[in-house]
Amino acid sequence: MSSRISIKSILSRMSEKEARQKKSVFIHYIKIYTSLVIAAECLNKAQHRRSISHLKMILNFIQTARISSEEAQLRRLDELISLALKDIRCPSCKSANCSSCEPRSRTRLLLAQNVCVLRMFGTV
Amino acid sequence: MFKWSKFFVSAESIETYEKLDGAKILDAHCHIGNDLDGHSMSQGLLVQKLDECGVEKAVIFPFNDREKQNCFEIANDRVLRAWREYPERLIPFFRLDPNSPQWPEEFDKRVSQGFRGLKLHPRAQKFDLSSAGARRIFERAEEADIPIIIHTGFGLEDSMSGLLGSIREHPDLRVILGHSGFVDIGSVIDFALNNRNVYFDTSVVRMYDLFFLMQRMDHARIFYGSDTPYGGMDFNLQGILSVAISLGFGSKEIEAIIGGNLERFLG
Repeated sequence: MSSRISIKSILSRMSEKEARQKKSVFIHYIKIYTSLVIAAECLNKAQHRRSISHLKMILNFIQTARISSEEAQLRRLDELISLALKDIRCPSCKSANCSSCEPRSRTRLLLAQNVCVLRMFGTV
Repeated sequence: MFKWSKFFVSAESIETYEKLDGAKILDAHCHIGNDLDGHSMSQGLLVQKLDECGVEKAVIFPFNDREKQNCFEIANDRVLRAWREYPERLIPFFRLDPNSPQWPEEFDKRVSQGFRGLKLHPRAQKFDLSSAGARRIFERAEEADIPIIIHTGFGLEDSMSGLLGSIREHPDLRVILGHSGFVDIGSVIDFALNNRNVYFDTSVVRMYDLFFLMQRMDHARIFYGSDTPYGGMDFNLQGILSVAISLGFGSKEIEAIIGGNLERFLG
């Protein structure tokens, strides 16, 4: 009888721990997703500096986040956001001759948002 | 060929994934060549990606290529070579610029070579979808029964009504909306519900728009697409699977979206 109780309590503690981990992963992705939405909204000539600072903030967050289960997805996000930053800083955009960088960086941010949404699916 | 073990699978959907094992996957949106923005893709690398992701065949067409003179002649030739090298894996579409005086010649040449469809990109080629040039291409494609895939993603926010008007004038023209017209998805879906010649490719679509699309549109008109090398082949597939399963789609419907529909469409 006593051993049954202890197994039950171990299982319950395990599921609590799992639920806590899921919640923490969910919060990480919500945070990244929200900043990605703001960064995408600021992707215009007047506000592009704001967009850059949001993206840098996300990169910093991703690089310091220690979630081993999410390593592959965070690496993917890192790559997409770094490429988006590169597009936003494209020097020929300043001369207004470049018409593809803005849509390209929007595309990358959209894909990054989709990564977050899919991972939130997986963790709820 | 679909291998369920390659995907993120939740416990409750494992049965649907297992039923999909061995299903054919066809990608409706891949690029070949060298884009002005620095992206490039060779046929060898693309086929390697297809193998890695279990995709059997892919529709290919040129980027906004660095060599786009004479209405994409060199870029279209590159697609032709790629197809000849991998006839069982690649499905060739050619690209046209309605602003180029050479387009009618290029159109006839590619149709006679066996290309299966054509690609238009209004933002990159700077033309309006309701312009006289674009309408003439629609007319020719309708006559020749050549489907057109049109970029309807970023940059087309203000042009969708023009496109829908042009499609309405050509009821026998088969049009694939690249990126599913997500920039104005509500109007596009309303329009498509009454116009059976409109199809959707799911590459680079916001996840919640994909939900909306798959919820409202007949699944037989939705094709999986990746926009490789811009979008991830495996990742886009995972997106479709997650959305389809959460909407309660069965394995038959999913099988159709990831390959069956496009296969039937292209005959």
